Amino acid sequence: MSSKKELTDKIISLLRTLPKDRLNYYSSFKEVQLQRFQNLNSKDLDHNNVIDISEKDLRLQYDSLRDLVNDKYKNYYKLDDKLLKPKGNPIYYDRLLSSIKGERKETLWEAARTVVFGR
Amino acid sequence: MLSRSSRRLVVSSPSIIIRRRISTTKVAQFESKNSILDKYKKPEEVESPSQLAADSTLPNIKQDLKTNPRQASSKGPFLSDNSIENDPTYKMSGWKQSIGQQVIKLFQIDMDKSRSGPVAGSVYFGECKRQGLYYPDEPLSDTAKFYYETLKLPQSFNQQFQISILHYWILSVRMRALPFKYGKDYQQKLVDRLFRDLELRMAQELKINSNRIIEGYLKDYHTQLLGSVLTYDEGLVTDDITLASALWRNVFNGNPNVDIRHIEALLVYVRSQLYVLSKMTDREFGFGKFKFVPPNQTVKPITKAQEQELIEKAKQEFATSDLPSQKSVLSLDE
Repeated sequence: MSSKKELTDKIISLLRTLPKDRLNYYSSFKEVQLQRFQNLNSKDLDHNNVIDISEKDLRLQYDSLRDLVNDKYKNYYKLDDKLLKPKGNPIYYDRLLSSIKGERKETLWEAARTVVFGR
Repeated sequence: MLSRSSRRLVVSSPSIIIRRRISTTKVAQFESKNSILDKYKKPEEVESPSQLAADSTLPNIKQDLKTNPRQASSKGPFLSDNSIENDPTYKMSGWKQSIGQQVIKLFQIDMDKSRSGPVAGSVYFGECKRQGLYYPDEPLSDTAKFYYETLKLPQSFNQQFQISILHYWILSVRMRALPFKYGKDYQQKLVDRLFRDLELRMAQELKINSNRIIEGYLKDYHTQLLGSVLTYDEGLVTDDITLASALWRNVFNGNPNVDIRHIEALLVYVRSQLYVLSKMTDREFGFGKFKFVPPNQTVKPITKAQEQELIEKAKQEFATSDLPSQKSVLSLDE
């Protein structure tokens, strides 16, 4: 097994661990990149635009993806509650996330209050 | 060994344990081994965003945008035609200043609210606009080189706006941490000015003559702004890969052949700016002292003692500001 193939396999397995997008966006990073690197492995001639990647660059792709998955930069540039629980609106991110995850739906009254008062 | 149910992730140093309450990412440990020698390891250094991105030599495959972007055919003023706003050396004459100070004192004008216009609507607007600004016949600025040469993003008006939105969002995260009534004002002034500028540039620089078409584009840009802010916010509080996906969709236009190293570089840039903003006091930020750290510079995390030192310096700087126009209720402690 060539090391290029090994690296591609590693990238694919890493991409497979990514969670599904919580919202339906126009494009999914996970799906698009999975398809890209699976094509690289299968050496599909229709997708020969990705088979010219050198081993060094492929390793960098893997290293970058691994650092992103491991939250390297979230931990390196650690933010405190000053930004994550902003004093202007401490529940801003909690409300946003619970809404994105579908845990809680705002009532009409709450929505109207947000529009009028801004929070 | 930690069980999956504990929802913890141990990173390079065993003393650092990060609880992942919000993220739904599966717990995964990739090439991170705990060793008794870990404590002798130097903390990992992070390169500057430009350096990170330049490491990769992945062949660039031009993305098919299915359109030929219209380029600016003339150049409008950077901020406005107003001579005062365009002149960084402008100083109001003495008598005008003293009348102004008396008016502020007499009517007890809330200067923090008044300041949101010139600071967010001019200083911070200029910061957002400057980053991705380019003109076809002119050499690129250092920050524009990072986006268009290092990250190899397409040169278009839409791309400039996406870069401005990203910087608007970075600033708006900090604005939320101001007292509510001021933070909201700062955000409003900045976004108003961004859209006013878009409208003027579409008419003056892109030579779009129809107001109806400009209106249509403005509505599209507004929708893009709302969507981008939502996904960046989600990425901020969840994990790096969610933020990276948001950057890929919005700034990298969902390019399937993207260089992941470039996304990482932009994410480092964004996280480092937010880190700098989090270490700045409300007062300094509210007075427009923040400047985006250039992408070719590295931001290193600071200790508690260094943070305290910065706060003391800010206090000394503002200690002599006792004119009515310099009054502020914004905190100097956080």
